[in-house]
Amino acid sequence: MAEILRYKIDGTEHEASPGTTVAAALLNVGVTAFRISVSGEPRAPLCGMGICFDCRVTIDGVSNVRSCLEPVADGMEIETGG
Amino acid sequence: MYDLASNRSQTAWRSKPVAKKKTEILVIGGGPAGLAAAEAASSHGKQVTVIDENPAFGGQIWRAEKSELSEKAKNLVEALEKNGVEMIASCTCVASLPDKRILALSNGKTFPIRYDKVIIATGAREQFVPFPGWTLPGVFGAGGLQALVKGGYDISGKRIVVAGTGPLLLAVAAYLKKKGGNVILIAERTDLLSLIGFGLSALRVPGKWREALELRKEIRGISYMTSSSVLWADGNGKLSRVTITNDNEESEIECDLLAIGWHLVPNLEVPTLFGCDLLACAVNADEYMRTSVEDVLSAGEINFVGGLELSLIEGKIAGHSAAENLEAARGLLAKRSRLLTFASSMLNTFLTDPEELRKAVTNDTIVCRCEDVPYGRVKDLKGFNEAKLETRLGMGQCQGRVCGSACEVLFGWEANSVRPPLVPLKISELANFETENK
Repeated sequence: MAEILRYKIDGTEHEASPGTTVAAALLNVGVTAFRISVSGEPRAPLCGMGICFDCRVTIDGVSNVRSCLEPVADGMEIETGG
Repeated sequence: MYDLASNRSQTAWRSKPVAKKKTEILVIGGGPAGLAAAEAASSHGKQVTVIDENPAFGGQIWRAEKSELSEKAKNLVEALEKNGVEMIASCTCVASLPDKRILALSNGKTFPIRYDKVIIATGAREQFVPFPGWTLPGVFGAGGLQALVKGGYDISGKRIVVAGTGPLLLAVAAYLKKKGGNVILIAERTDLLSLIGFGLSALRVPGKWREALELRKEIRGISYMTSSSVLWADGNGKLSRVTITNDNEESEIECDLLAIGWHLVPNLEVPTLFGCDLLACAVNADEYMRTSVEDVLSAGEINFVGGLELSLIEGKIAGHSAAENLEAARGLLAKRSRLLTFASSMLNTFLTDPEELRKAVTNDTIVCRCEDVPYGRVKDLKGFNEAKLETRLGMGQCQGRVCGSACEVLFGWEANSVRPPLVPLKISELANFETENK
């Protein structure tokens, strides 16, 4: 496994170490709006364990992925604010 | 057609390919109870498969740190694999099918798994109670923040308030501090006298007092308030301060993160799918962990939220019982009963009056986070169903997992959102259905 994983958040490249979840990676770079709620508020993870669905993002074109359950992979492209 | 599975295979973390679609004993949930069940069942020569929704085994308490399994989970998982137990991570049970099969989802594909007996060990999640500002980024469940830190979230230097109730708060605060978090306050809802009473009862249980002393050492230096809770959280787009009450005095505290923990509630979605009888918001299983449905067993926190030791023993009993070796199970019944008694006493200490919890809620407080339904729109409705019809509460992506138990606390409503599929499925995932003959 590569020592450093390179991935993109909304087009900008970032690095993470193996085993980091997508949710943790987004929090580490200061993302607060993982998604925008139906009334327009920014939302970020609440439960950290796949229950609340508030951390969902688009990963490699697949929408509504719970970022807390998904480890970062090399080359991953993450889109927030959906 | 967009092929989710092949698209993601280039980048995403892959769980092991599914080898078998048929097993003698299927365990749903790879936390302590599920792993103990698998170990016990396989010790009788049974063919066992364990699935878990998370990318790594161990459940919440033995959650992997950056995908490195905790020592205890690692030992168990290795022993299980040596025994030929099939372990499938990142695999979700989404439906119960006829003819003793489940529909599983993994890696963008759905497929059936056939079983003779199934042991459900889906554990518990945090109870969330709405309060003004709880939807702000930076507000987490206490266990939730701990899970995210284990997933690699760097909290060094962050100013953190830990609030709610129960011994979990101390454990979380100690962990966050160890990881470099600047834990400035633990606000415990329960009053000091009840806590002392609980402490005294814990002394009767071997090992518990040592645990408590260790924790005390670890959280030294963090200010600890009793009879104290969060009234509201503020911030512009993210959390910047909380207002807490302490013996009816209000004060504002600047902070970056709030970790709030009430009780844990069992994850009843899977047993509900199977049609298991429930009692007092838990699975109604007998002492051999058999549910009301033939060949369906349940173990651990879905039967009673009673902690690690109880989950382990229930897992073992369920494993023996599923392997039809009641003799082996019988030897564990007395120990289980002792652990149940202790767990019940703890529950009574930290039981919070719903009236107290409702006090903080205002008409604008969001109750359903998926559909942004505020308290004011639902408070006068008659029940969960009416709220769903009128406001879409409980009908978003989480399918009532968060607002369901919140409504139980706020209104005494029984949530009934469980239906297959248990998580939102994409058409492509259903289209990628693999039959048993493949």
